[in-house]
Amino acid sequence: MARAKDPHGFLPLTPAVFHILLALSNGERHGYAIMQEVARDTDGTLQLGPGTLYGCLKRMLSARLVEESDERPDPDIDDERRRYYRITELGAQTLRAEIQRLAGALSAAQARRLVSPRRVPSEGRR
Amino acid sequence: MRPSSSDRVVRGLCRIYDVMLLAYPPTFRREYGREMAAVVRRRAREVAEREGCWAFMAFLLQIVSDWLRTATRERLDEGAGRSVDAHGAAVISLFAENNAGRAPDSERSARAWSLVLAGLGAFLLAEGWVRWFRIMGIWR
Repeated sequence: MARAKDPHGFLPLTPAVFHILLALSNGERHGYAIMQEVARDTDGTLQLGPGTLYGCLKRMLSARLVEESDERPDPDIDDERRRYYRITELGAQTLRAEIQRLAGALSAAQARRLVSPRRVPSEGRR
Repeated sequence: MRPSSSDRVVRGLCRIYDVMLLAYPPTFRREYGREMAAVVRRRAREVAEREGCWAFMAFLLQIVSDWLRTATRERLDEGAGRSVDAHGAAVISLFAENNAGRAPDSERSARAWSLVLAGLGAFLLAEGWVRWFRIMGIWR
């Protein structure tokens, strides 16, 4: 149980969990918006299917990395039956810990000249 | 795709997906089934209207492969969850993909059987889709 409350206990995250947390770090979203945000963030290389998305959300809700939001936008512009999800403090800490872990891995790869420091950001946006 | 044929295809896919949802455990289906169906409907409409026939075929393959993997996994998780408390199961599940090679024999055997059944299901489903597309006159 103690392990679950430590963000490092969740690492390494699967790509799907990592990108869902990243999508929710900008604010609360419903399932379809999360799918679209993940596809945009990864230039379409990670397309979450509905089973993967809601399977991950179910486990992330149980692990308290995300929670359901009670707030709804204007009912005139949104389906009020649709559920919104937001990142919790534990989720945000876990996301930061995973980013640090990935940054460490990137530094190690750069030290071995496996990746050029300048090329990484421009390739990601292409 | 023409609007009338894309509407028919999307409606047909949604009906088939409603049946596919039965493969998930009842608790999971009750909790997320309606939202999953809504996501598929919205995405299918978008792909059919904006991206064309081949993109729609790729989308169908993605839906089927996602269904095979996740329906099997949710069934396995449901079995595993009975012996562990909910929070513990969630933590274990988050790591399941990373530790797949360390599964006990009984779980490996269940997984192997699930894969065989899933493969058979995929074959039958693909066969059904091809026939359906031929009937609709989309693919000759």
